[in-house]
Amino acid sequence: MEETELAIIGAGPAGLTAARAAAARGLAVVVLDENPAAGGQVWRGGAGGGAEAFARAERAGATFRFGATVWDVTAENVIAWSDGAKSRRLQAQAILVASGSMERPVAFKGWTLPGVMGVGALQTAFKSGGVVPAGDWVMAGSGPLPLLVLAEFAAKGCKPKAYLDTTMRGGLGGALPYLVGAIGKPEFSRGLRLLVARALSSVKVYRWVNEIEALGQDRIEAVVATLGSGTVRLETPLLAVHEGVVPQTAIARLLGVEHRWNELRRAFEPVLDAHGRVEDRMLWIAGDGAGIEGEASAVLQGEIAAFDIGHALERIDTQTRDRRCGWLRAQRARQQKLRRFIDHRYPPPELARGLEDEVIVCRCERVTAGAIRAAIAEGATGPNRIKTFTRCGMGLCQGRMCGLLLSELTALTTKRRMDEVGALRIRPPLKPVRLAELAGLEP
Amino acid sequence: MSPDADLIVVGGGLMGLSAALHAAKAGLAVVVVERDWPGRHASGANAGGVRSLNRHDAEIPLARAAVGMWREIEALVDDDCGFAASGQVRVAEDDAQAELLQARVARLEAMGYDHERWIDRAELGARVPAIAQHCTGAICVDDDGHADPQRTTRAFAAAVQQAGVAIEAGVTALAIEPGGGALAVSTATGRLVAPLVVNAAGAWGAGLAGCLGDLVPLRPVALQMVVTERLAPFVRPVIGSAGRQLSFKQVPTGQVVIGGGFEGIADAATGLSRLDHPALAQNVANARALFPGPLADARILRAWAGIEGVTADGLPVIDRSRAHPGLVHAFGFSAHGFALSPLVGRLVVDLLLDRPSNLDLQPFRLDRFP
Ligand SMILES: Cc1cc2nc3c(=O)[nH]c(=O)nc-3n(C[C@H](O)[C@H](O)[C@H](O)COP(=O)(O)OP(=O)(O)OC[C@H]3O[C@@H](n4cnc5c(N)ncnc54)[C@H](O)[C@@H]3O)c2cc1C
Repeated sequence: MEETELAIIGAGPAGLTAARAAAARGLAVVVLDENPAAGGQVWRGGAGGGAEAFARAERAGATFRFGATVWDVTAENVIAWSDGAKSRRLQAQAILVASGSMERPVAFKGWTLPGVMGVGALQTAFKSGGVVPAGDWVMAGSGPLPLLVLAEFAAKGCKPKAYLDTTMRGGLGGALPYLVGAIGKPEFSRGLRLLVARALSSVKVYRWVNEIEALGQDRIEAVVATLGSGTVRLETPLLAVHEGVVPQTAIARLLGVEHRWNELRRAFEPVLDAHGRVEDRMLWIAGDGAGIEGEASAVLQGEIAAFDIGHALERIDTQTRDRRCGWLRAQRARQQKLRRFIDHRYPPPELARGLEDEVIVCRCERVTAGAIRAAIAEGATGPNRIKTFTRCGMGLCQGRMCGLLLSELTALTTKRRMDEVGALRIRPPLKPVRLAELAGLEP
Repeated sequence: MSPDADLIVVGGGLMGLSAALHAAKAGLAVVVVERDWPGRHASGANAGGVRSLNRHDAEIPLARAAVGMWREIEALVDDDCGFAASGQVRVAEDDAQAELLQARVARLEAMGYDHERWIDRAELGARVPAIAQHCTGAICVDDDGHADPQRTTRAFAAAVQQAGVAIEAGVTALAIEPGGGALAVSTATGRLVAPLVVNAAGAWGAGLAGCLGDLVPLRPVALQMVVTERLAPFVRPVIGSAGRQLSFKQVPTGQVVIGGGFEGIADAATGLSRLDHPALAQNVANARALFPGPLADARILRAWAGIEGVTADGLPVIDRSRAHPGLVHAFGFSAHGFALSPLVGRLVVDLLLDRPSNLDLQPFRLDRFP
């Protein structure tokens, strides 16, 4: 079995920064990422600071393994991963999980029809191949990402037929994106703000949308939006939806890390110390996987974790760590303040509220909200029991898509707090792995 | 102290639920205390094999009786539990194995059993066309099969509740103590008292039995399972091998369920278990050796390990306590109890109520362990 001092899962801003910082201090570092190249989500294809961060980490001596699907991580810090042909294992003294976020899974009538996709997935396709939708399409949702994608795509001459803005009325609410810059420190740089404003000015925007439904036989043909003032129907072969992102917690869950529900962000977040470490373990989590704070904070968290790991492995003395981390943490606190503003500006939806019985919750096994409510009525009061009753979360995606919605629906139906309800237990493999790859496990 | 019920069952696995069901049908007022939830451990995590094939001699009569009950399982729990009489097949992969298997069939025939029979290479090929070419034949039982463990535990739990039994989930029995002619089961929230108690605590059964001096050498073992994505149907019977550790079946969803007794790491104190990767790889390699074609590109969706109690001789304990006649132990089913579960409840109630039984429980007595 291969051995290393530090294994990092994920080569986005947090992972790349940590890899560079740790390798620069002499640690043996191996970075695993399932993508073919470094960057993660925001730095995909070397965008932003990605190319440079990767080059610096490599120069510092970090080893990278791309196309590496991590399918298990054990309490003994053994990582089982597959390169597509064969499974391998890596024993690490310390593990940093920097596996980022995923789009909040949203369910509505017709969301499983082909042609309905996440804005993030659309952006990924764009970043990795420059593909933009040809012909009609509609964007729906809330948060900075749809606006950013509008701006990115507008630069390519690609505009949606309409933007269905689901940002909720009240609070700092949805009017603000249109007054960007009016107050506080907004989520975009000034240059980007202009681009967003320009893109928005030429797109038909429907605000205060509180419900959408995708219609179609074998694929989406139209979307119907319910607004305060009535409904609109738009014919479209493509609907891109986005309701913000949530931490990807599968690896942390698999490792039994305690999670707490963040009500403001409506997401589970792992419980970590100020350095991103899991108490009493040689395990750290940095970046959006620790709680959504964005790119700049991820970079800082990566660096903080690297110093703390160096300290735990006795390469960095306490004084040096504390001095460096003190400064980094102050920087991070600034980012957190900014993030709170965004959190208030785009309050995430309650996924389960008002969910009709016929809406599919688990796409892989086609389990509806009604079936889940029936299982609860029969006495399955937690996500794991509901899973065994209904098969919700047993399919190809292993509950990655439906897990959060299942927990929210359970909490709402049983009138309990999210922390009490908890989440689906995660079983390896984290991603489907071919029998042939597993059978060929290196000893 | 007035009793809380006629019978307290500790453990809401299939053994406990089956005992509760048969007891309720016999008119007893029953309470089940279950630490987690019904079917959380072995009963919900197992491979669902209903097998009389290749049983230990002592278990053959029980397994045959149980297979008969599975055929009519709907009458017992108002659900078919996903039972399919698909047959079970144990292949020989070379001549030496073939000889051993044939000798077994002959030995069973001499004992008066005719449920197992030998099928040659041609018949095996006709029954299981996807099987690897090198297999030389097999023994099989045609009315064996498999059921859905989750559905089964759910159906048993529902039937038990239907029969008026209360299932106290999330309640741990800390000890079983005799007192005042009855038995007390102490829990974190108080004591439950009844004249009769069943210890069906699975891998944790020996701990409770030990409180009363009934000593059973029992090892909690985490047994690993793997399930694939949905595949086109290619095999009907459940497949095992005389030459390698394997249990293999394709369930109605098209998914293939692979096990065979490969051990992960059990933490009995927390009830959690972890996987052993090399064992997992070996298990999967064993499956591929028998079905190279259909599994060429198949992906694994999920792997898990379920905790089961394995006794020193691999046979369960189904016996009255030596310390108190109102207490019956039924645990330690050693990785093959699922198939027996509909019957075990009846056997337990026979013991509790001193009803005569036509099945020999001698091999499952406590006193076989010194
Ligand atoms: C992976 C695997 C595959 C298997 N495959 C097969 C197969 O194909 N065919 C077959 O016939 N058998 C199979 N078995 C074996 C079968 O699953 C078991 O023999 C059977 O389920 C045992 O049932 P049980 O009720 O004794 O145990 P369990 O289902 O484990 O139930 C015991 C229950 O007692 C509870 N408990 C424990 N201590 C306490 C306490 N102090 N207070 C309250 N509650 C307590 C536990 O929470 C648990 O729910 C397999 C087992 C495993 C693990």
